Amino acid sequence: MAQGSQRVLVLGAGGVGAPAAMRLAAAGVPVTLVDDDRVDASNLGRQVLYGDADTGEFKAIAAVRALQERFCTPASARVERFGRDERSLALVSSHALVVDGTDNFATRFAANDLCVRAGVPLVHAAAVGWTGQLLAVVPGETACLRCLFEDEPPPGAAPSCSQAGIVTPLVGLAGERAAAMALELLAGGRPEECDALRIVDARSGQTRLARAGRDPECRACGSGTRLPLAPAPECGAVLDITDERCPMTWVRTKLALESMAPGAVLEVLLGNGPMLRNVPHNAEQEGHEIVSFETLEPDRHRLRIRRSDGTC
Amino acid sequence: MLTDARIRRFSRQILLRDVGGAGQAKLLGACVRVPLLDERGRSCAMWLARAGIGALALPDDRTPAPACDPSGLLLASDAGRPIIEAVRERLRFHAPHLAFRNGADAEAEAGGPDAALAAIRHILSVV
Repeated sequence: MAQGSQRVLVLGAGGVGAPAAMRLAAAGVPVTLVDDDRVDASNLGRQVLYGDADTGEFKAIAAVRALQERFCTPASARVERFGRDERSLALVSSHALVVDGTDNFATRFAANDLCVRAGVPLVHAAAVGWTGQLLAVVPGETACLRCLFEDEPPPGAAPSCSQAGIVTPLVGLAGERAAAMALELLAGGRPEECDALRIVDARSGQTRLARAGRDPECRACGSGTRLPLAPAPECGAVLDITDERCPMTWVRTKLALESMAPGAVLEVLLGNGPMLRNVPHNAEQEGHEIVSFETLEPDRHRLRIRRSDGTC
Repeated sequence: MLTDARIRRFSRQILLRDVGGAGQAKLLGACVRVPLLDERGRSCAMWLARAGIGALALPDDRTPAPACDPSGLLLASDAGRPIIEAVRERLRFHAPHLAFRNGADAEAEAGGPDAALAAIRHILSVV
């Protein structure tokens, strides 16, 4: 079990991640929510932290606001792509546990590999169609995701939620169970999902545990060849606009981007208020890429923008 | 009725072979009774509302809402309000289409998302 902060990293603020984060926050566990996606109207049929007014906003930011309306537990947002890279490894290493509620295999396997590498326990939770699955990973002690499935399926081989659909309350069931597993691991216990994959069949209402042991040749936790990590994204300049007001927040950001080379990354320090929505929105409207967003303090946030190559 | 907005909102359920447009319309036309507004009951009501159940029959429970609701349905600012009033208001956030009635087609007995799933299976006759 990792020592230090009991803060939990929740990957994915969607169907499964949202109820998991709610249950953790309700139990007094601080959470960091990571998601680079925005709220879409098609999310509202199952993603319980969002309402119609949140459509178009970054999920992680809207989710933290929703958590703070409900619980007094600290919660922070990071809008960034989680992957098998040095920055994501540092993020994992600064947390006591990771709950993976993402909806794609690349991120799930990256979460598994980084948790094993950092020695941070992982709760894997997924749901598609009428089927959910849960696994608890204690690195070096119990089977990891790669012990069970070896590698992510080729693109298109396994249906996603947007292809196969999903029955709404199943994400709640998976998210709530994931939070209960996380709380048990944080308390030093071993949930039933250690060395066993829990498979939930929402069509029949039955669940079963499929026993699984560690693979000695696993590429994450065994003797197999480790997959390489990508380097952390670079940063070209820093701009502090925490004391500015709109529209000067965007004017200063726009001028800073114009002074940089195409592809360079600008780090913008933001305060609260309209700039939280306007600056990333305007940057995207002008063709730049939002690399990441994170809350540093309740009234201080860091946005990274990659300057466009000028072709759009 | 399946309007364009509802088709988009419930598109992931409509994709399911056991649901489809007819199944989602059935859910939107159904009323489920949630007998208790305890934490599990509130959780169940929230998931039923999100899934597109058209109406809920709720008990007239006027006990004060708790300061912290682990189900996530109520806000901290709801503490002390009559629970039925707070629950009805917050369910609208999850499902603007939702109606409140007395009679019901199904009952969600145990609470939580598993009880919501059982009620949906019953309405759709899924085995």
